[in-house]
Amino acid sequence: MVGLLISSISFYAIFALNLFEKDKSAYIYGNSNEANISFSQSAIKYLNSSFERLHILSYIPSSQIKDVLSTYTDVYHLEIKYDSNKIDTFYNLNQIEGNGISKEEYKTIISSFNIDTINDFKIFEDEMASFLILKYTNPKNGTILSISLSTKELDRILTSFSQYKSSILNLDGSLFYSHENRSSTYISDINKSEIDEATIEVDITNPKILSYKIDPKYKLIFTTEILKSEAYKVNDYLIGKSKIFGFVLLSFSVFIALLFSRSLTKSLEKLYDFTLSISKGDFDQKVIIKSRDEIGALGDSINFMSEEIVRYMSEMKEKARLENEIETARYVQSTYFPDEYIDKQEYSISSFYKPASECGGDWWGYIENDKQLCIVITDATGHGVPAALLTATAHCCIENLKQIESSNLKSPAEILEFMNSSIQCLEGKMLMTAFCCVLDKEKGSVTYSNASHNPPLYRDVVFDKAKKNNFKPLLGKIGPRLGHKKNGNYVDESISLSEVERIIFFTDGILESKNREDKEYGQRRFLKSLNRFGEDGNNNFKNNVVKDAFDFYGDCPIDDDVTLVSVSIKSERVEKMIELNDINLENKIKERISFSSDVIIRDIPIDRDGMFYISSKSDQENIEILKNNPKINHLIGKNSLDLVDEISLNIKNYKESMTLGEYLDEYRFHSTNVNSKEDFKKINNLLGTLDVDGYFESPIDYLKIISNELLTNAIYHSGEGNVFNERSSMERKSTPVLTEMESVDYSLAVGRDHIAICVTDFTGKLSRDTVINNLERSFREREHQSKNGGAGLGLFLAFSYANQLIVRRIPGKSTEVICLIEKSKRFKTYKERITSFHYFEEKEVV
Amino acid sequence: MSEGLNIKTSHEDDNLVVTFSGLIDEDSSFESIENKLNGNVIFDFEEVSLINSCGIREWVTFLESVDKGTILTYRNCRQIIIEQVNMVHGFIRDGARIESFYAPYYCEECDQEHKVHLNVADVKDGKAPEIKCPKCKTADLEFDAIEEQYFQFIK
Repeated sequence: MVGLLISSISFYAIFALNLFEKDKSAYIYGNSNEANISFSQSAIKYLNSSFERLHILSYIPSSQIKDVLSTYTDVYHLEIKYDSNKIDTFYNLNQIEGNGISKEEYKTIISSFNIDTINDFKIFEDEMASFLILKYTNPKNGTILSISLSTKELDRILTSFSQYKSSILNLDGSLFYSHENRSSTYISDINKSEIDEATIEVDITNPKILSYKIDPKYKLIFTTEILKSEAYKVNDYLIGKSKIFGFVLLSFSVFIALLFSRSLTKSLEKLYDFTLSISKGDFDQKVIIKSRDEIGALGDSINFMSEEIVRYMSEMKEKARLENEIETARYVQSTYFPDEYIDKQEYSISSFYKPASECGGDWWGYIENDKQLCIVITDATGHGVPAALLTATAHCCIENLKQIESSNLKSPAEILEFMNSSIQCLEGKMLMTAFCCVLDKEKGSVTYSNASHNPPLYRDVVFDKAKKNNFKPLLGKIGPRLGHKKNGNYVDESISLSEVERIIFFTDGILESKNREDKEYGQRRFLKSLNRFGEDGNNNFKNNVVKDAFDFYGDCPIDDDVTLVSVSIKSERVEKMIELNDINLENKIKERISFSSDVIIRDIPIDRDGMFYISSKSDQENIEILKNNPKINHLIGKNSLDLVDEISLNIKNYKESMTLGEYLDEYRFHSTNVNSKEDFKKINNLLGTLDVDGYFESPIDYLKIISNELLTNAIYHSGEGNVFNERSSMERKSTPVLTEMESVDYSLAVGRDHIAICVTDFTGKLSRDTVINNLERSFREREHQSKNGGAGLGLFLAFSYANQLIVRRIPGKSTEVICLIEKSKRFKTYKERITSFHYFEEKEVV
Repeated sequence: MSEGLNIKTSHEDDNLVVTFSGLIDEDSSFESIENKLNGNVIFDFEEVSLINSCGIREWVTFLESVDKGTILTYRNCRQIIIEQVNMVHGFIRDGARIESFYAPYYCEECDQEHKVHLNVADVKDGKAPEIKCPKCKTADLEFDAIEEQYFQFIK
């Protein structure tokens, strides 16, 4: 800052001195010019007056001239030549002798000057004196006058400007008259200027200021010159003094500025250091500034800001901690809940839970043993974390019961009493409604007890669509809420299990939540929804009921936690074997297929034996499902050409192990042996003869690829031990040659509605896991494997180009891999077909 | 099985046109063209009959050996080729483009399928262009595959 101040003042001082110097220069040059003008005017005036005198003398009679001349103090002599050639000469002896020269000496001097050659005027100089000779011719009377003048007047004029050296030059630069011996007349500088009157600087080595004026009349140049150092002497003196004064003033100013700025910058430095500390996260310090000016106020503000940041950070930290804890609580609470869908031999449970905030006050759980299933649902007062903590107690109670006496459950009233005593410690500050229900298969009863909870609704085995309401509440004596009284005195109620098809447990959240118009969903809409979807399979029923409620709420957030649990009791009836979202399809299947207890048909995947899963998902998703559900051996694309036939055929094969001919339909059946890749040609020839009328244009291309891939897999994965390993890793450009015992069977079956290719090997190595893992990798990576042997894409291509991939394996003995393309005119239908997968494994019959 | 893969080369303006015919399988060799491919190269698949899984591997390996500066264009891709492009990574490498291909269409009137030759530019916003039946000349052909799936390669 001080530097800036010094720079500014210095710059200003230099600028001012520069201006001053320029101003003084103008003044000096002006003065020089003025002096020269005065000098030239005086000289010209003298010349003019001298010629004027000659003009007058040319008219004066010769007799009077002498008298006139005597009045002139500068005239030495006058010569008049009249028109008549008469010459009169007059001498002014006073003047001549005044110079210490006699008349005769004068004449001698004058005669040496050759005056006749003069035109107008000229200076002649002699050792004794100088003479100005003027010559004038009167144009009117022809009289010619020559006058010799003393140069004293010129001397006076030349010396009248004592500071300057004045000279009179001829136009050619030669010296006309001067007191000084001039080394240079600077005529070249004057000519260079190209103007008649100016002041210029000349002589680089010894700079001078030269003023000149050219007089065109007398053809003379009047000059005055002065040494520049002389001319600027005063100026330089003043500038020198100014510099000294300026420096002293500047030094003083700097001193004063430093004195005052130190007190200012010290405070700012403190503030700067403090902000640096803050930026490094050190909020413990404070800045102390005692000044009462704006800097002091700024310091106070920054201190306040620092305190506020510390406070805010502390709040944020606390908030983050709480959020983290709530998130943990939410996660912990979520583990209290059973799976959303539970499928058991005797029953299925489908549930939904959605808390109104991070944690909820609803909870449900179950205990089961061989004979009984106990369901408990609770609803704590309020919601959020406090309510969630209460649900933890309920969960603990049920977990304890599970471990202590799950083999012989207490009655529902006893369970509620046990739970009631467990939350007595809260001294009635928090309460919880609860409903406990035990389904006892052995006793054939549904026993329940209620602690002020919404009575669950149950559906009768017979569902009458004509009835407005097929759901009835489980009514009975209602005990106090858990935690309300030390002894709840809960009472068990009971109905027959045979009456019940399903029971819907729920909390009041589903009824009391509102839509944008502030209308509650309410019991009427709820019952209507239950009846509307009452015939659906349990999982779909629950999904549809929940969807109906949430469609009603719209984008309005729910007011309370929503919990709904639907327990469906299975009977031995055939209907329970099949449960589909598509009722028409379900009925169609029921009409045409005779079921047995070990087969189940669903459109949701359940990992169990005898499962026939009807899928609408993509091939890739289906392979993932098959990987994650290792017991599912039958996945049927929902858009199968004849889905019921496909299920029927495969259920039949599942039960009875059909022969290949039976399984593939022996309408037209070709079979041949393949021992090496060379045999592929005959397969292609066989395929080339196929009548594919009724199919899209190019099934043969796909059948060729499928055949090629299945046969390649079979012959390169043949043999045992080292032979198997060697063939598996063999370069595919070489071909193994199988023995007659090892040869692969190739079958082509053309049915009414399909063409099937079957490749049978006799190693029986191709397990379900091998097939599914290979397909899963191929779908995921979609590129070949970098390994010896095959590209790892053969099964992927076969699966992708087939409508059904069927594997029938007898481990260690044989594997039949069947790819089936269904009859379709439309290529699009062929491509849209979700590929079915069937896997059968049977023990070798010895 | 192998009926072999034949490879012919010709020049078209500044482009080298490589025409494949027959089957691309494990026995296919691309050695004859490996050192010729630079600048603009057009692969013509008009006469490729089939490609199997080992053929895919040979093809992908062959593509990896082609100089990265070579600009590849696929022409007259049969349906079987388009399906490989859509199904298998690496069948068409980054920067390469498909110029023309065959697509399945169906005429309800004639009850007949047609393989229609299309340029990629004909497919706008993933929609198959409208085509009149070349047989009955009146009915609009219906695209006979799943557009989203079949035109994946254009993305």
